[in-house]
Amino acid sequence: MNNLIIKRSQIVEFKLAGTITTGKRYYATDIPNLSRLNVVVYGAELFTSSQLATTPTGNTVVSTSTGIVVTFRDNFKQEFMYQIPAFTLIRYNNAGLIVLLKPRIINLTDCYVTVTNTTSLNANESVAMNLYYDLIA
Amino acid sequence: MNIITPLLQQFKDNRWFKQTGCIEGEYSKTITLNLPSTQLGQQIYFNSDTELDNAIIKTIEVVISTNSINTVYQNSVLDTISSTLATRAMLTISNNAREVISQMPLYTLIRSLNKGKPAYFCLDNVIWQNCYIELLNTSGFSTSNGFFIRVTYDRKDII
Repeated sequence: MNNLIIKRSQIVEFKLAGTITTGKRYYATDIPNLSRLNVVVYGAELFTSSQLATTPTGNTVVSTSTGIVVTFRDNFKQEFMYQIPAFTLIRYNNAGLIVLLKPRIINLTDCYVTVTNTTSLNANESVAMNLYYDLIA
Repeated sequence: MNIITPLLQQFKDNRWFKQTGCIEGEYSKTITLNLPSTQLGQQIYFNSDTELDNAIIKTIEVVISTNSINTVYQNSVLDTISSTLATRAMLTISNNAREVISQMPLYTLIRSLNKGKPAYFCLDNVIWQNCYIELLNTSGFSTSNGFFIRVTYDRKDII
């Protein structure tokens, strides 16, 4: 069994701003590090408050992942990972294995989470995720 | 198989993954970081470490109190942090230009909570004294706490 090697990583956030509504999309906040075109993302790991209580920007992290799905879009706006259950992206739930992605240039601010159940989610909490990436020539 | 094999080869060629259970690093080192005070947003920097500056860091592990109750820092015995406290702090790894290479929540670096699997890295340009642990929530922390970190690495000159 293979596990991911971290070359570079960056915490990204999907802030659940305002009243939380089922079916609503919450987009990732921009991170300049990941906006460059020479960056390929090849792994992702999601955190709830069980792994990370507060993000580096001071937002409280959601306490549950079971009512959230995640969609990644690449630089061609293709939804190459559509509605992955957030639970699946948590390393702890996968016996320590980090989810590998086919390496792609992503358009971070086009990536989003969708709320499928609002139970235990509160306004202005964040879904926090680590994206593992590398620089390409 | 025709579709997957080139992808696996790409991951292997770029050193983006490796087998679990393989040799982690040629050398292993334990580093303890004390907590001089407990302020929100405090960045606690590591001491300079020439050995690690000239190394390729392979794994980083956070040891918690259920694995080792105490850790020693400059002849002082400190209480190793618990897994709960690990959710409230973040490790930031930087290079010589203080560019942030990696931000890792401490919890995800706890090996015992990930079925024994270490977090693999391949970091060859880290300046250890530019790396720090940041307190994102001070609840439960005290100055008697210590961060117990284990790093495995290869020396650059043997690669």
